Amino acid sequence: MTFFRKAGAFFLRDFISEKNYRTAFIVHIFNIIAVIAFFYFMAKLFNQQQSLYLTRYKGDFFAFILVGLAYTRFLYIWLNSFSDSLQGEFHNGSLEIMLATPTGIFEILFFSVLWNQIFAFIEVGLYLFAGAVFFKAHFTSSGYILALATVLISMPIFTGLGIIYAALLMAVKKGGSLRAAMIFIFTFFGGVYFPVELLPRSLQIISHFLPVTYSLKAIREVLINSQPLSFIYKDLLILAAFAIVLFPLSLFVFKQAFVRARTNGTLTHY
Amino acid sequence: MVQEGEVFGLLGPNGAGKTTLIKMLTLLLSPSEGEAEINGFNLKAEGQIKRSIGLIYPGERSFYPRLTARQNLGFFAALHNLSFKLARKKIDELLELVGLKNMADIWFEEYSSGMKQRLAIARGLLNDPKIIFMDEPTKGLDPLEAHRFRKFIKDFLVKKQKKTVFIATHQLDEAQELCTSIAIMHLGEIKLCAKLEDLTGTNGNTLYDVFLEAIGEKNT
Repeated sequence: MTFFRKAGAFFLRDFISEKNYRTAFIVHIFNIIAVIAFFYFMAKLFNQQQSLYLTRYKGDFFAFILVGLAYTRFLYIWLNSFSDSLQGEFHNGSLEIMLATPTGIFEILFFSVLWNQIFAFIEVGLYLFAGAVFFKAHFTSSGYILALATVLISMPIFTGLGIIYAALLMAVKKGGSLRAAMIFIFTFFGGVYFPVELLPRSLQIISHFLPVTYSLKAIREVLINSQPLSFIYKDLLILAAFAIVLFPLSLFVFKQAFVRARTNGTLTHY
Repeated sequence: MVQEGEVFGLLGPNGAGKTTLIKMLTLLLSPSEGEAEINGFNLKAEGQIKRSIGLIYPGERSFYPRLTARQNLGFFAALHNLSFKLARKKIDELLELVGLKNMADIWFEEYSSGMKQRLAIARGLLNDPKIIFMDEPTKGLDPLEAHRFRKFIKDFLVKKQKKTVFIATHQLDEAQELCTSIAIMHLGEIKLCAKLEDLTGTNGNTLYDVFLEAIGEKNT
């Protein structure tokens, strides 16, 4: 019972805070629409010169990039929310108070990101919805369930990576450049803005080691090409394998970083 | 040894290690060596210790600015495992106690320093702790608020509620007014620990003299 009580308290806290910063919220929604509009017109430009690399996606660059954008947003929030939340609590001075209560560090870690991560789903939905309704992106409605399933299977992977990043930050304190590098590698080699096949063969090897590649490929296949489960199941299996390794590893790494920080006195200097 | 129901003062110059010691006793840091017992529990018994302690920091930080006082307390009450019903009752009582009941539903960021500190006290008492740790609790308060705060510790927390208060401060007058026992820390070590009356009652020594001697600054 206390599990849900605590989870609810964190969620409510963040919801109320967000609600009380209305301007920021409205600007955020405006930014989403602006980004979609920007890529909509870019896509118009590209669609006039059909690329060979996009034939697999019906030559629809806008649908291709919209999935990439929505997914990047999801990825970004998932990767950063753990470290951002912990840093936020630290800078606010509330981390110490929380740790002095009978609430464990993992409860704090997971509950602190609840709002952000649920909101990430809403945001991704908004990208796809606005793209489809206002800018006429062509997605097949039957693909949404499989796309959601792919995202759900990918969740433990990016949760794991986010927790590892938070643990690293706890250890080294400054990780801005590491975060930028991680996002760059995922977006550049993972096929967010252009098909992976555009890269030289030697660089394409890197993309095989990134979960983003499989996630995005599966989502695009079901949303743009209406492919069934049998077409993407291999990608889902690879994602599941990533998840099985990364999630438990991240908990272990975080626990070690926490114990170390608490012992060497740096826990409250996050 | 800190006696039950007393105000114990931890004194020391800046950088002496007072805050570090408080963080160790409240389980925010692990000691590199040595042992301690809180309320009869070894430091390894985290659950029992956390249920019996309260922590009061200077109140400017550590709350959420765009939550009301009531919402802030509601959040921390959940972290203390208080049920929704019990939390509501407790929060009402505490807001009344610290004189914030009429301002319970305005945002924390609109509070004055004194009000913030009173809210920090209310939060520190949410779980009805036996032992309350305070780190520089009157820092940033004007003399009147600081006086009110010290009176609250003496008259309510200690006399009425029989709480044990462990307070870190470098204000000697505060220690003199509040504490029954003190320890003086310097460079990470406890240099002296005794009843206040035993230290200042003989030879006409003031607490200031004792303090200087303990930290090796008597002749400078």
